[in-house]
Amino acid sequence: MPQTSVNVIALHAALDAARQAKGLSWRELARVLNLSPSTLSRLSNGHNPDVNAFAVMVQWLNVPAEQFIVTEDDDEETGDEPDLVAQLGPLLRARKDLNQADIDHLEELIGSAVRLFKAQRANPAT
Amino acid sequence: MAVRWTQPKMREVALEERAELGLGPLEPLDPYQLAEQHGISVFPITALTDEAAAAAAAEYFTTVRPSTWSAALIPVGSARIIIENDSHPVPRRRSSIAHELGHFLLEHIFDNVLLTDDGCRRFDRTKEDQAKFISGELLVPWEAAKKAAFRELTNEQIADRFGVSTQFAQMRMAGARVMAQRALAKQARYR
Repeated sequence: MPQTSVNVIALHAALDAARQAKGLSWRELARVLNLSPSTLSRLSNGHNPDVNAFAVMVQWLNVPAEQFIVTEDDDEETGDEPDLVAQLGPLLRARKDLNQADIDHLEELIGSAVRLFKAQRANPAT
Repeated sequence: MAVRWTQPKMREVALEERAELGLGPLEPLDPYQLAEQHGISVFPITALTDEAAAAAAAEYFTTVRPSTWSAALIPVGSARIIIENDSHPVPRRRSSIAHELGHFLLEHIFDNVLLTDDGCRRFDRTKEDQAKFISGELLVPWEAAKKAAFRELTNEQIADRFGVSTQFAQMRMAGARVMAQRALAKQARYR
């Protein structure tokens, strides 16, 4: 039987849209749901909620829980973002307190950290 | 949406976060534990050695330009990660991590990498002041600062107890010491 898990990216996006529509901050949403703010932060950082928290979230969203359940057979939504370093490069270059060597080296470090982060997220056991 | 943050509201957030870690206002807080609680990965730059260029960059910021920045909060989709310059002394690293977490806890919206540096050369003064304030409340809460002021603890004693630098302790204690002095002077007048 295929294993199932929560599509945390889709669940986070749904909560984000709903809370913004209601004018709530994340901390206020946590209060409304009677969850700790860190439960929602952990979701935004790719961690699965526990069963109770998941139930509270989908109930508040008023959508079927199945909408956020994925099986290992599903084409998993990867949530890949556009190349982060390419995105951030122009912003770093706009800063007058960084010289070109600083920016080049920062981009290398950010790239490395993001690769490591994605590898850890893909394989939490490592 | 942008929350209108006042000092009492930020203090409340810091106390909530400390309480979730099981800490009262008088206990030292480990900012790395707080990051973990929120699922935020912290990467010391000397651990970023998957490619030669990254290792060279870490070397650059630990030897050639060590004061350029202390920590950076980086958006990766909805996630946030922190990279830190681990060549800096531990108390400074702790306050840099708390500062970046401050931006996160206050839900500051930025499109850029947030770099904490020596001179606070940043774009948004209000957000910087808020992150500075809540990092102070996380590491040395007002309640603890008041008690320490009445007990006339030195900056060194406070730094040692809360794992901060003496400069950070001085910054946190300034207001509390003025308040304690006034309260003691008032008491003396009524004796």
